[in-house]
Amino acid sequence: MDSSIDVRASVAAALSAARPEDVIAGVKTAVADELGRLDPAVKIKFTDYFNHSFIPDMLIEWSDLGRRRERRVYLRSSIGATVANEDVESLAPLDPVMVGLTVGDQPDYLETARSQVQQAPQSLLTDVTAVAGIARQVQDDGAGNRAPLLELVRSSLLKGGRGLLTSVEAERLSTGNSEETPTATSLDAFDETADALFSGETATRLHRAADLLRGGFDQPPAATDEDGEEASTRVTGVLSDVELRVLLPYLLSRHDVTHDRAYWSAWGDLVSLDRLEASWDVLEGLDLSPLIKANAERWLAARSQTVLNSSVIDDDSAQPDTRWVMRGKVIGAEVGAWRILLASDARKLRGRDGGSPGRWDELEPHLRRFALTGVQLSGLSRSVHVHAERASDVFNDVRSIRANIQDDFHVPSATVRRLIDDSDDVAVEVDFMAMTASGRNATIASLVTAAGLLGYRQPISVDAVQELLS
Amino acid sequence: MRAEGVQEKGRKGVFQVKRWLESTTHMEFPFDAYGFTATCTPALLNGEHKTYDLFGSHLTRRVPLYVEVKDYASASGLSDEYWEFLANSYSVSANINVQGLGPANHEFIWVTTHPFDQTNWTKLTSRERLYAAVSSKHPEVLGTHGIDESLVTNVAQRIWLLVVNSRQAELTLSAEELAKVHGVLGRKAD
Repeated sequence: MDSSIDVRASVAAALSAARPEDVIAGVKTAVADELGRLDPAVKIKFTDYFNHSFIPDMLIEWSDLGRRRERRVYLRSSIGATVANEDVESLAPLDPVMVGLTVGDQPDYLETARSQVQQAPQSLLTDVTAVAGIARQVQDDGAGNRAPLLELVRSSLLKGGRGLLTSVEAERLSTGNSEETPTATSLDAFDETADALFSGETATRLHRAADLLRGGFDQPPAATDEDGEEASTRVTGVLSDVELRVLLPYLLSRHDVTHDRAYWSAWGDLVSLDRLEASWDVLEGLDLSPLIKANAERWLAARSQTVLNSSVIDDDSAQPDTRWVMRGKVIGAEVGAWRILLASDARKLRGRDGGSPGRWDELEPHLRRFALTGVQLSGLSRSVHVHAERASDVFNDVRSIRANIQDDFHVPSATVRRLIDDSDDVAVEVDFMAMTASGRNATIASLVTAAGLLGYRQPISVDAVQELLS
Repeated sequence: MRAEGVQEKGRKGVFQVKRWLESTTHMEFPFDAYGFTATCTPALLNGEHKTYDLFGSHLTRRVPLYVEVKDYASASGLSDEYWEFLANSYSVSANINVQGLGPANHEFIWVTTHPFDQTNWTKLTSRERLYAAVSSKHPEVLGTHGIDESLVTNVAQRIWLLVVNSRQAELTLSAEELAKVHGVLGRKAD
């Protein structure tokens, strides 16, 4: 069914209710359904008021970068009613979304509305039919292959949309941004849309999103934006949740997107490991390798855990999946008989219970590849904790102890650092009981390399670990 | 009786009154005749209907309010229309009682931009004036029913007569200011 007919029927049914309270409840529910369909990331809260001159009908709430944001939504019988009620002028300081319930205003009212919203640059004036047009267009794409530009519009409109958006503009937006693979032309048009239909901060983000898409498809960046800003300087800052949740799944799911390390390294400045984890629901099952590998030496993580990979162990012919993939809120990759997990917060990887310590004699050849800055040795007759106060490596000290004390030393834990890491700050504590590698200032590469030690009984080759990281 | 036509003319005046009354924080008018005609159109005793410009409620007393707005530049015709307004106020209330549609506690607000009938100004909302409106000026609103004397007394107490100047808007709180205070005032709190 035509989406505009659908929503108009819902609103008309609500408006025809006999009791005023039923009219209000029905209309609010019909509108909230459309707003929620347009942007499922927002929470919609009803107020106790309806069509009040000053008090909103609803609040839309969302979280961005951990900060709670909200915007007021005012329902009006039509866009024309907002003109008659001088809403655009009086509500402008509140950066509202004003939604007309019915269509069919006189053209001169729409023209007045259009000129009024130009004086209220943070206000969005629209109607439910236009909202439905964009919301349903996105839903109708199907097959999970969503057009990224339309997704960006959809998920930004309520939060940062401005200006007059009637069904005419909505149709233009939908058709103009519906390509699954954006072209240079559609991206340029999208830049214009961003300036016309979105307020400052949101427009800036959308320009950045367009540039990220250009880079993803090896297209040259836009020369300048309307403020004369160099496009190359627009791919900076911190990515909003909207950008992350739309762009990253899209780019990572496309086989024709660049694998250029510099491109994905630039992404590393815009997002972080913890933000990937927070967006697990849209990244689940996707190959995160280009992003993880390009930033393995830059992004910090708190803990890595090594677990046996039962699928490979149970099936000799099975090959480990060496891609970094988000599964069950945790990022991990398979190597040899092991699966190596990563977390930005140590509490997310609690480690194994009831594990056994490593044996020095077996670990020694593997530890040679690291600077050993501390180790706990538990023997039958002696237990020794060797720790470097200032010296960077106690490996030879431990060898000397081992040579002089005849005992079978077990190693519950050791602190190591890669030879290329020149600061003790990046040392990683390898816990053989818990099968974890943890560090406070350790990069993903440091942690994963150290976590490779945990599989010493079914060793992971240096090359295989390196393969995961580059 | 002809229902008030839902004309574009006067729409701005109605909305100015809506904003003014709502800015007092005591009243709300979710329904206007332009977008919600049916809700603003109660039945009269004689089976006809009357469309008011606004329908809403008093927030603390929680009584329904009908508003008729006269955005006029002169007093011409206002006196006659006011007689009709009074008669309709009674007829709407009586019909609610007759039909058993709940308590007939509705209040009726006449808002005009121009004073009228000034020699009788203090008597315009009196019981006598209302009785005269129903019995002499517009008996057709009764249909086949007689006059309920006690209801006349009740309805007369629920008539408002307000005069508003367009500059009144300059004396009201802005949307920003009202956004700050309305939650504190808690007019709708239980």
